Amino acid sequence: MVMSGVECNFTWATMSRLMKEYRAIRAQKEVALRPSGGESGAGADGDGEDSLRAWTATLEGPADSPYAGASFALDLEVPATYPLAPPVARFRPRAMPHVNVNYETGEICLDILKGEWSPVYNLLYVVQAVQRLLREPNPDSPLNLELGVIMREGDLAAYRGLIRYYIQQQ
Amino acid sequence: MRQFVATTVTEEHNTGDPAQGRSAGNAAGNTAHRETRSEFQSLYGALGPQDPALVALLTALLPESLREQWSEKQGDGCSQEFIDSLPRVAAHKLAPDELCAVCFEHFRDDEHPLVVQLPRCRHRFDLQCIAVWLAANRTCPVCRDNVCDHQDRLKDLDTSQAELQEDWGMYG
Repeated sequence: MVMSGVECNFTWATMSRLMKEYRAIRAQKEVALRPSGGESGAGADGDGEDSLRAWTATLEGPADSPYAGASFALDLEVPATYPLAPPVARFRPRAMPHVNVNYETGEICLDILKGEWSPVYNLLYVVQAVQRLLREPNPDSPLNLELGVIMREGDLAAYRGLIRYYIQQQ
Repeated sequence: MRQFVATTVTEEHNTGDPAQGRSAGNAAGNTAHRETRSEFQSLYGALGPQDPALVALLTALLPESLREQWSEKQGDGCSQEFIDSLPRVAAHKLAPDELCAVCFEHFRDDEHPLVVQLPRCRHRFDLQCIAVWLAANRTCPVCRDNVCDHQDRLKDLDTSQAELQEDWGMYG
């Protein structure tokens, strides 16, 4: 599924939609989401295809969460079939201690990134949904079993402590 | 099999020790759930998904929490026949700022927009955009209404009449 390093040509429709999203993303200030390769070329017509394939968002840890004060890179990869298929969103390996994130790979368990995806959503919405996940972890589908167990047992101090410990390791 | 995507998303996480992270009671409950589901699945497959009475009956038997998931995840998409039969929306009925939620283009930007309307929820899309989505999915991208529920109802509808009436509007 992941297209890293593989040639994937966007159709005109996909490219046109990505350009619209790019403009909308640039016009807002709330979410730090940019093409991974930087801004050069992305705004020009036609030759921006490569630069709109991979995106990076910077998520600030919510103030009322154990992630407060830390920031996290979230990588988005746009598949050739976008927006019929969702972007692949993941944190960097060993960077996000979260119940719904595989710590080793950065894989995220979020319904809209899988079966519940709809083309109505967009890259900005995906980033906002992941941001919400930081504030509202879901212990029912853990990818981080260690944190999942602690959370289910309701040991809030241990839960916060473990997350803080992981973050300080980086 | 795509109908149980939501289930497998949860299940595929149990890559380590299955006992880990789940209490014994919880695990037993999940197994029972899974058995009921596969029972329904085999029943459903044997009798054919096109029988609306059967679907209604089975759906009524399902707990409410599972019902939505069931109706949304069955099968892989709508039939080509259904997609072809979606009612067209005449260009003059489209608002200037109305856009397709799949490609984000304004309908009126196209000189000859080919727009269709889903039968129950009435959400509108470029035929080209919604056709690709419905070939692999059964829900409206905007509201998740199970579009193919109305497959049979639409068949009985005389769409030629509806188009005729829309044409009258042009001269009215």
